[in-house]
Amino acid sequence: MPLARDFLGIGVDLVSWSRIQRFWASHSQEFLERLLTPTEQSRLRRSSRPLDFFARSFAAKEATFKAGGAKKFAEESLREIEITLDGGTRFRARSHGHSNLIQGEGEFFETPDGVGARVTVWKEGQAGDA
Amino acid sequence: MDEQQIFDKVRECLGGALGIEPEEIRPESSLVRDLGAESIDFIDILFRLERAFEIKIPSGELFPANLLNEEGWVREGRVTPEGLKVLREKIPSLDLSEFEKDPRVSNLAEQFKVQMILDYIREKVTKNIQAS
Repeated sequence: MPLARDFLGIGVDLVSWSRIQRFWASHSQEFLERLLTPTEQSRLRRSSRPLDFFARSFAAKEATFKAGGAKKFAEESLREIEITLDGGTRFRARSHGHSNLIQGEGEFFETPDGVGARVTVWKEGQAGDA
Repeated sequence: MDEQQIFDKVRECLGGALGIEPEEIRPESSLVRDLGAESIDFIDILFRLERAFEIKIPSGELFPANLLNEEGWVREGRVTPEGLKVLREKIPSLDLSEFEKDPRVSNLAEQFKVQMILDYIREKVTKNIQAS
């Protein structure tokens, strides 16, 4: 049976380097353990640029939640979305641990004082699903 | 721990998270409108409060979570009366008297004030003392 895509929305988020650096200096361990999926944690540990990885992952997660329903201010919510960076300017988002598979594709953009992400998010299921 | 000690510690947490002088922070300050908090800052604030007061703050207990995804709680970008009732039950320290007049979801974060954090921490600390 073919897969059907149910468009959920478009999200954009921008985080400033000053905030990223302040957060990372105080909470790098908490970020790792409480906001990232196990796969993301292992990718971050292997990353040669962890601050950049953190900034992009955070912006991508926030943009995805804005697109999919804006569950802001909930750390567990951020952990429910897994971000895969392609090493360049693009990323994929995928819900983690849910039967209703939410997916997204997006790209990063840079500003003089931060990094941003824009993403298109959809829900995927079998055609004919309610 | 008395009120002043709680206030001083909360101000220290907010000052550190938001990059501002603690003296600029007042109980009536709105985290977003007056102190310039953004989404990453709310998580920063949670983590700092947990450390400073040696408490665990469950998701959604201090700042509302998942509200926007619940059917019936939001309609056409505005929080419904049912949604307001749930907010009051879940976050009694959140003063919604101003928000009720124009309950657009986009206005909600502006209602998060320092006083709300102080009320929450006081109750949490008191409970911890009683339990120990």
